[in-house]
Amino acid sequence: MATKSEQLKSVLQRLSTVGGIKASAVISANGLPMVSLMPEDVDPNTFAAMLASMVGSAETAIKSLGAKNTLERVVAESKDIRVVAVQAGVDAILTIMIDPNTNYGLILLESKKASDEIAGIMKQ
Amino acid sequence: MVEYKGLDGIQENDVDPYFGIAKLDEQLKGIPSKKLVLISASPSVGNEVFGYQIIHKNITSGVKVLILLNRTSPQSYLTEMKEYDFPANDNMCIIDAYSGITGIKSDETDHIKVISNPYDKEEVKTKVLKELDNGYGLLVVDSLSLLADFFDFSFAISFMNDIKKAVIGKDSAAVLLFTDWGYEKENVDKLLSNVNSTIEVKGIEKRVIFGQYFAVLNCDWVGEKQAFSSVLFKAIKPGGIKVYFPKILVTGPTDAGKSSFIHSASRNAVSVDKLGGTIALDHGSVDFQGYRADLFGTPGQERFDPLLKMLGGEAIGVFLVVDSTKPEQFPRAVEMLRKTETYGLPVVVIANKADLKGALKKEEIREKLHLDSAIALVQTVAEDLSKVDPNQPTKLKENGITEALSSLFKQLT
Repeated sequence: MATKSEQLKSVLQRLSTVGGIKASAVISANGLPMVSLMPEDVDPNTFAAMLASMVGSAETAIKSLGAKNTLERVVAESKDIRVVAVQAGVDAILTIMIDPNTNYGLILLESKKASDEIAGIMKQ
Repeated sequence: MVEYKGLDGIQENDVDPYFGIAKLDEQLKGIPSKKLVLISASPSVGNEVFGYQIIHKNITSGVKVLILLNRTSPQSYLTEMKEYDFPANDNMCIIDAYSGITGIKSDETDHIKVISNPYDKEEVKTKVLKELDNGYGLLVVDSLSLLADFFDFSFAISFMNDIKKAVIGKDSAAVLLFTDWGYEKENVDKLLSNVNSTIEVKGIEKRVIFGQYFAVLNCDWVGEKQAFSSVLFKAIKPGGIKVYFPKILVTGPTDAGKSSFIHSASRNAVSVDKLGGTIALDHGSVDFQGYRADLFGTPGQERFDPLLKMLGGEAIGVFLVVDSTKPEQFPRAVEMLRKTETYGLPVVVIANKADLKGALKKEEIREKLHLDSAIALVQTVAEDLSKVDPNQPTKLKENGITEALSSLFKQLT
């Protein structure tokens, strides 16, 4: 059977065929990179640490406002890059980097599907 | 990066071959002559970088190295080595048992010997054994499993025995790279029983730690039968194999010097700062004497406490930074260990600002923090007090940083 990282990688590879998704990674909720499909000049360690702290901070902030459900996603935008971090179960976060001028709705749908799969793989 | 000295200060320029890989040289004290080492990897994990690094370490310290290469062409082998920052030199000679298979003609030079018919077992064997007569300190075979695939497993075993005899007769040593593609266990056991040491290279997937590790399975020249622990590693371009600690936490009260420590210790630190105080985290990668570690720094102010648990998760060691002039903050320091849920992990206490007026002495700090005598305490000071800017991480003096890093890394391996 394929190892967990192979399974996670194939989820990311499938995501990368969706138009507009430039890079993706699965990181742990406490900031360690697990698998990534990223440009070579990006340091996945720093990226994972920063993304996890974004998600952690957002979760704390939204809870302090009285949110009853868990955090679903965090989005960071600039004119040329949009980063979306989606919770994938308790342990993992799926992050994708996308071109902001693409079909955002489709990407959100696909990333939701992928994050559910990742949550399933992590539970094995 | 090229030079390697173990934490215990293993000498450079020794005549015997060394691995040039942190932890291996410390545990095995190099590769004594007349010994065979098998580096056995599982298919998902490459072991070729071990070969590059061992070759490079030895050719740069004056050991002549012979390489039997049947995995790729000498040209791409040398290119790959260069990508890891391991340039070749005159101490290295390759026996090319690959080009003949592809049909591309390879020219014989002083440092590349060509096997004209790689399908001929006898030529491969005699050429290697004959070349060994020319005074090599080390033979590297990349790879033994491909020899077994190309001919058959019994050839791999008999060839290894020939190498063993030659190596013993000529005071040389050998490193054999082997990937276990699911061979019959009986055959693999025969290989293992004939070498002096086996190093296993495998992948690990434990909770959220996805990585690779190596472990010494056995070694017949290390006297005491110590248990060899497995170590996580990363193959980094350039730099090669580094013993790897995925997460080390740096915590402590406000303004103690956590960010300064991370920025001084690592080569590419990133901070999320607003007006001098860390508000989310610091992150930096440390390269130190063959080790690589990722440091995660927490904010010090209490209002960020809800984040501490996330930052502390999966950490395997802690630097606790305190300000030597502010004993009133010490209870907060201990509280932060608790809040990050890292109490009980290996810890090194860093007493920063040890040269400022009013700084407590080491013993006073120990007493006030209720430190067990086994816990290391290292003092650090700013490199140049006149350059301290409250809105920027301060550069700390190197000797304190070095002492702190080696003290924690020693505890972790």
